[in-house]
Amino acid sequence: MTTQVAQAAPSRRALVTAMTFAVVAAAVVLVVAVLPAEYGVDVTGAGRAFGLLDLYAARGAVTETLTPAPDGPVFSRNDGYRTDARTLTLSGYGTLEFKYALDEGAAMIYDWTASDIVGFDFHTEPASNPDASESFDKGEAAARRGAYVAPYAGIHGWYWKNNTDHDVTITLTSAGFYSSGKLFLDGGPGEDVVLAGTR
Amino acid sequence: MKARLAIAVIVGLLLAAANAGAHDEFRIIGTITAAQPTQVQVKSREGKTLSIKVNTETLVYRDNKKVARAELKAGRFVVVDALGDTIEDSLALEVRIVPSLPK
Repeated sequence: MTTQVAQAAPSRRALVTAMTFAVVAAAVVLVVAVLPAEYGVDVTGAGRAFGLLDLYAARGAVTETLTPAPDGPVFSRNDGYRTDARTLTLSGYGTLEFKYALDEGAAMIYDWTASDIVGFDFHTEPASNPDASESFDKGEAAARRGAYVAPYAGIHGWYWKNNTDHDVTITLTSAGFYSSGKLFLDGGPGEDVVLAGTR
Repeated sequence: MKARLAIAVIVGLLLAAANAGAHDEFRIIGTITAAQPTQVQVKSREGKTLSIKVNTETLVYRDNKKVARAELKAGRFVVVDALGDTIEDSLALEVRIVPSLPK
């Protein structure tokens, strides 16, 4: 013997009520959980309270910014970066100077090699007082590389002298925040050197 | 009084040091036309005759060996490294006696 139970279909009103509850519940979940966790939008404050904003931050969408401190180890500057490469020839017993124009605090790295040992003097010519030249690195060598941060605005670079009777070639490469260069040959008046464009 | 004197001496030394730092280095290449104990005259390759001071601190080299200042004689070809405010008023730091260069 079988018993059949007749089930009545839900009324239209019950369906509408159920759908309305479902939509409201979905909206609550969207606002309280999904938006904070997925998009970092926390309208109600529940995202912060439940730690859902941390989930969003962990995805990398929220990045922490850090600005280099003055006098810190990182030098950051957006303009004026240039690279330079040149070959200079010192005649027998000749001299020449090549300097870059650097503002106070501007940095550069450099590398020069010579085809023979030369006398060199890395020195400055301050913009405020060109006669108050300072030397920072001086001696005799066939190569030198390093980094330099200008202590003041002016032109900064090398005086090279050839102590042999034959030509010596100097290959200089550098990169830094300089605006122009100046070349002095055999003690003569300097001539401005236009450098490659800014990157 | 002593304190003022000390300050004056220190200021004087600082000014002297600043002045020394302002000197330029010059290289003169040419032939000695006259040599005296305190100066040499050099006719440069450009044809200009310059008087350069020498003193007991001036180093003189020949064949990369240090020699006496008396080796600075007329007719010798030299490379002079001198320091001064101007090339006409410079003191020779180092003089190299070298074979003359081809023109």
